[in-house]
Amino acid sequence: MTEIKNVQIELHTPHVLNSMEERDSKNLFDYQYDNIEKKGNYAQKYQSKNRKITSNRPDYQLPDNSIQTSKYTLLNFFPKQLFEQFSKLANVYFVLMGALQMVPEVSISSGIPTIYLPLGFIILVSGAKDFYEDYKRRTSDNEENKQQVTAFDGKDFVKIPSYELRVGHIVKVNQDEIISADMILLRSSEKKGICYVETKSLDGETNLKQKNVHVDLLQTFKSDDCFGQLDKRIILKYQAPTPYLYKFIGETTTSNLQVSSINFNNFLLRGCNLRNVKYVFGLVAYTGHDTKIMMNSYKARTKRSKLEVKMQQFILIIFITQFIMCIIASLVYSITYFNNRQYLNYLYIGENTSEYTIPYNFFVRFGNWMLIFNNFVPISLLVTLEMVKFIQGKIMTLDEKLNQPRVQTSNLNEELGQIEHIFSDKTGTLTCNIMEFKQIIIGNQNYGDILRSSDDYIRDDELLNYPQVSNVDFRDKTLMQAINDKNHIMHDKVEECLKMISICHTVISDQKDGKLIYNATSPDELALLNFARFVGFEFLGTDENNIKRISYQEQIIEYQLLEMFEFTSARKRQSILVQVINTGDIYLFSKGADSVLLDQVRLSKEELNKNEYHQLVQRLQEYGKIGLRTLVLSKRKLSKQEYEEWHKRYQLATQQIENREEKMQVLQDELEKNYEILGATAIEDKLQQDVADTIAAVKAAGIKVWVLTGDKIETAINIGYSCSLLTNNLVQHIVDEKEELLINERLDDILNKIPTLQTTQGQALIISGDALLHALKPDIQKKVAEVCGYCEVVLCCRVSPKQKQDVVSLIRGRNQLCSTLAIGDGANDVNMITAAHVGVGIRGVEGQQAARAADYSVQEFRELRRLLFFHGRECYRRNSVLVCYTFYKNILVVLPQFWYGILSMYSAQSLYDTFIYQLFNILYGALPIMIYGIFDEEYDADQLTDNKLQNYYQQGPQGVLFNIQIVLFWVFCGFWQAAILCFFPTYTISENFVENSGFTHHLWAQGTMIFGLIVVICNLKVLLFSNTYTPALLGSISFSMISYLLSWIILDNIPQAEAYVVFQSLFQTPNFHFGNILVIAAICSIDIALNIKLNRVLQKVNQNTSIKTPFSLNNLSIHQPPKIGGKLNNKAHTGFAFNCLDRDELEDQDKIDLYGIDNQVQSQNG
Amino acid sequence: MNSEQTKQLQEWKLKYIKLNPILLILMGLVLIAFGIVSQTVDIEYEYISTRYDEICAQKNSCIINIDVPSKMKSPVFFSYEVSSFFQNTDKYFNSIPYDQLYGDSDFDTSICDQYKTNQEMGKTLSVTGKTLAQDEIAIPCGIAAYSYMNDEFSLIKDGKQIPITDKGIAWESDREKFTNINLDKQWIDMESERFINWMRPSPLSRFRKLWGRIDQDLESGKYTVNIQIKTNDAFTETKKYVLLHNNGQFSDPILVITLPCLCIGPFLIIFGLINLIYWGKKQNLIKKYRIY
Repeated sequence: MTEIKNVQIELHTPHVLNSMEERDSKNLFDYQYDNIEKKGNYAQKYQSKNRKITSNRPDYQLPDNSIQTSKYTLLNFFPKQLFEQFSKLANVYFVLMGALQMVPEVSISSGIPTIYLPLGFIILVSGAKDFYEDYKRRTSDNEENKQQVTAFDGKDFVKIPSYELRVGHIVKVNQDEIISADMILLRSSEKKGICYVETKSLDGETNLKQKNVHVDLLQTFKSDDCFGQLDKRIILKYQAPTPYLYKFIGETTTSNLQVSSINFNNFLLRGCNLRNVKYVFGLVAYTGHDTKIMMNSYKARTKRSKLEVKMQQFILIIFITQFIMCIIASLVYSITYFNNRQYLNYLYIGENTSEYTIPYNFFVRFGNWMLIFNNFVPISLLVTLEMVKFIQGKIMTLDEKLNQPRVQTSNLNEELGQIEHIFSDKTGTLTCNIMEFKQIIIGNQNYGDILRSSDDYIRDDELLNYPQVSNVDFRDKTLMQAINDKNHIMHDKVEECLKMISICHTVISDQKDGKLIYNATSPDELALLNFARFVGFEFLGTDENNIKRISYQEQIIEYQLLEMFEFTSARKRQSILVQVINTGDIYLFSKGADSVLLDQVRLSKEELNKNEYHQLVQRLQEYGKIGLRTLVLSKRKLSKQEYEEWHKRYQLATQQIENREEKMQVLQDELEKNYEILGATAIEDKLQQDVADTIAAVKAAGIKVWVLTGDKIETAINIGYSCSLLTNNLVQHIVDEKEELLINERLDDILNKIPTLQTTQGQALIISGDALLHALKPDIQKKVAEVCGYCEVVLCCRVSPKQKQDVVSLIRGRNQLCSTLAIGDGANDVNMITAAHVGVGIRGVEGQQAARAADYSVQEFRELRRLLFFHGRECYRRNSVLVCYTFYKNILVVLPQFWYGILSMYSAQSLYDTFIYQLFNILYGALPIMIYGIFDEEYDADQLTDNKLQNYYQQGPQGVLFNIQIVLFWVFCGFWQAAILCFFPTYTISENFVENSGFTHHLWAQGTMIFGLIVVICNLKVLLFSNTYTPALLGSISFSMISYLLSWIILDNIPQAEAYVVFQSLFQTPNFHFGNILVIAAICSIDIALNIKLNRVLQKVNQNTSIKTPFSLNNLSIHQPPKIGGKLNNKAHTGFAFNCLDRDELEDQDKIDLYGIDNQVQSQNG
Repeated sequence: MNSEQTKQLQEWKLKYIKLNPILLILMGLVLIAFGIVSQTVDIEYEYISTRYDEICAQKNSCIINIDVPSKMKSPVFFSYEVSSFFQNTDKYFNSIPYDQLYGDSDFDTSICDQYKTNQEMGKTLSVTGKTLAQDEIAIPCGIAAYSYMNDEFSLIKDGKQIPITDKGIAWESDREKFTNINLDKQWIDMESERFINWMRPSPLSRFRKLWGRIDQDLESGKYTVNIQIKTNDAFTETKKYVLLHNNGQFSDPILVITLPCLCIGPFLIIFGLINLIYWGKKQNLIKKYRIY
């Protein structure tokens, strides 16, 4: 109610109206907010309607800016948690069993639901775990919600907590602050209305993006304190919240009825960091869960490993077996009972009682048998498994060869051993996100390709004599000699080239504490410029008159900037038109892709065939092959008349309204011709250590690797080459279309082409985010999946976080059985990480979001190898055995009673003391398998990590160790062993007199013997299948057996105990000892014999599917002969890549009608 | 944990163990040897069993003849055998009121079920000869007590009765536990060892229980057994035997030891041999035995 009141107060504020115009504007602003639907859920209510708001008039009906990522609140924790617990089938089963235990006719525990005790314990433990985890999430939510923001309250800017922010607020954001809601830019401290944002938490890219205030708004808000004025109010009409990161459509209406359309360039996203400007003002457009970043975030779900899911199925199978056996047992009982009722009159069966009838007996016995069998479904399994996994996780974190990995979801340990698909982020995951300048070609000379042993190598100590710059790894002295020696053949060329490098760019220089600092939107340019600085050409900056200065050998060279032709992905080049102030010469410098620039070279045909040109192309191809990013540098000298004549036409073109862009482009093209090639540069997007090695090993193990990156296609291909994902032997299929029809055609095309290619050739698919948007539509999805099936390598470029998630989901959806792993480091990878079966985060420079959301976090990509091949594989093996063994163990302890039923008419007589029986899963049979699960090692850790001798990893993805056959084998083992365990002791000690004095044994003596043998056998079994005998294992096995002995001794000596005194008498019986030896020998030896047979089968399977020969790796030596096969469909890669602000692409986003949803704001006349 | 602790962790791991086929063959041989030995070892053992329920049907007492072929050394055990009698059913087993049997006068009688009162049990006289109140709870009560096998036997050779003692025929641990509550109200002496033996439920439906011990050598010759049938309707369809024997332990070696040993032994040897041949050929294949 108060919210509505607020709005009304705002509306009825009296204004003095002076003129018609103001009255108009008064009418304009006089309207009721109508931004929400009345009915529906959250999305229907708040996210379905286009919005119209007035600045400074917050809409209190729209949700506030608070976010909640936690699953529970204090109020709903209990019911929600209970619901979650009892959605587990096992828990429901045990609750039912407990209920059955309370039925007096059926109960075998005198009506006490004993099973509720362990059940309660289990529920309590997992509840506490959930609570703790959610509490952590809650505190971080609170922290974010309570962050202070500066908002305008109508008179002044005040600090309010972030969650109080509403749509319509005007907010001031200072430098380096995180933007707290999606907003349109109203004013910037920069004169031109420009600001820079870092979007790494959204798309993972660390380069700055430029945003600008809309021209009309720039004129409206001329000072910092004008926001309170009534005539400065604006109306913003814009689309309902959408999850598309690069899309915003809206229009503003100022008080003087000027309408201007707002696009993504004027839009700031929540989660970005403001850089390089002191402050900006923005109008909040989306808040809280409506913001782009939140709509792109994926709700964390509880992950379960494949093994666990399968286990659930097997538990169901086991339960069905139990059910059938209970039916058989109770049927046999009720029928024999009925048939023999005359002989069994001592059991008192009254002829008229219900007990006389078959159905009654059947149901009562059925209940009895269910209770006797209730350990068949192992209650301890989940707890044991969880505990073992937890400790396995701890051991992982202790691994010395890993750099302190963190394990957040130890549930997934074994899933690490079953991965078939890896989705990797690029920036920060494969690469260090550091560009390093490596080599330069000037003329026909190549600099920078130098061996460490060479004389011309700049050693580390010598490096101190050079300017200290980052992003450069250049150790070639010959270049320095060429620069310093004026008589050197190359001197002029080198000088010219380096001057060009230091002048042709868009970098802004800044003085900070007396130091020159470069603000670059492109890391490539920064590397180039730093290289120029390194060799003595220092770019000083651009002044107001657009004069660029560079200092070179203590002299300052000034250039007048004439024109700047910006980089777009269509043009693939960037040019600068300058006039040397000293000489008056006019030059056009260009840098860009070889494919564009080399076509425009001012050379005759003969010259083109000459060596120099060929060498350059060849070199570029070599660079490309090892993944260096290349740029070709070129220049063109212009005469004055030429320039002036062109300039006039260009001026005209810029003033035109229609087809301005196209006309300018034509004119630019006119100049960008007849180049003289200066040289080419090679920059390395530095890979993390051993990335190529790791990827090769991972691929050799049969895992498919996909790279999903926010980068451009060129960059992605480059990285593909440098980490040996792509080679020139792979046929590349590039899908970069933006319209559905075209994509469809392209995919058909590829599908038709694939069968015609040689089978030996691998395929690689490179697909862009825009294409992917359409490709993920249901009808095309199939085709994409089909193409992907053919491809060894898939690169997805320019994908948003949401798309990354969609790609992962596509693969998950296509093949339910296949396990996926996503690895990434930035906040933009969080979605992908949560969507994949296993998420691995890299704790790198880009903050901790990914690491926090991930199930495992490591320091470097290469650690994945050990994580998968050693830890994952071993955990999968151990946990599979653990689950099977637990099934087996429980069968072993339950089934003798079933077999014994043959002798006792299936009358549901238990063989064991209840107390001892309850302790079985806690004391006598729990520890050794846990120790096994923690310590057992089949092969040496390094041998496994290497994975070269044999593909040890393969067992996981194939699911060899945990499937229905294996489980049935274990169940079968349980069955026959239980039979031996039941009948051998029975006939050894119960058949006859057992002692010299002619005594006989009690039923419980036999039960005790059987139980004791079960304890021994199931502990020895662990010893049989262990690969390593650790003292812990031996100790725990001894402990289990001794504890059984001790508990009987204690029980025997407690007079009140219900247990019959049997132990002493048993030990006096020679038959007992003989029987024990016989049973143990029989079971163990048959078991060993059976497993030898089984292992041989398994070995054969392993032999047949041996490892692919790991392909030799390209090390970074340039001297390999280039392989330019004529058969290749694609041109040899030359490695062009350039990371730069790309205005075209951003604006294009507006034009694409994503998913065909029309979110255009209807223009309304207000 | 620091690196030192991790190292310690590593040290905990021992070397791999390799089981090989030779071990299997050895085990098989041992088992076979064990089986053969258990069969050939001559245990001094005499065993005479005579069925009497058919002869004594519908009678209160009867006489059967037993032929002892050779001299039986002391001690000779006098037992009875019952078959098709299910002491091991759930219902029977759970109707043994242990606290009552162990002398707790404050006993819980709920488990006695349909055999609670003296009337239901069909008992009229106490051990001391007093009349039992029909509606009082019987001591002891329950199915097990109701179906007590209380036939009485006397062994006679040449008209001379051979003394059969009932002392020392039950486990000492049992004797310590079974205690009388009030002989005037009990229909049987609960400390009687024959009763104690009966109350020890047998795991099989054919079982033998010791009835008495003869502490003298039995010469060969013909003996007669006088049987007083006192059992109630519980035994109508049950086969009953009288047994004379002088040792209990290796009673049926064929079934208990020899047969399993002789079955499993060769099985192992065959497996071992197959494996040995295979192993000899491709040694590297079977590095160690692993069960998934």
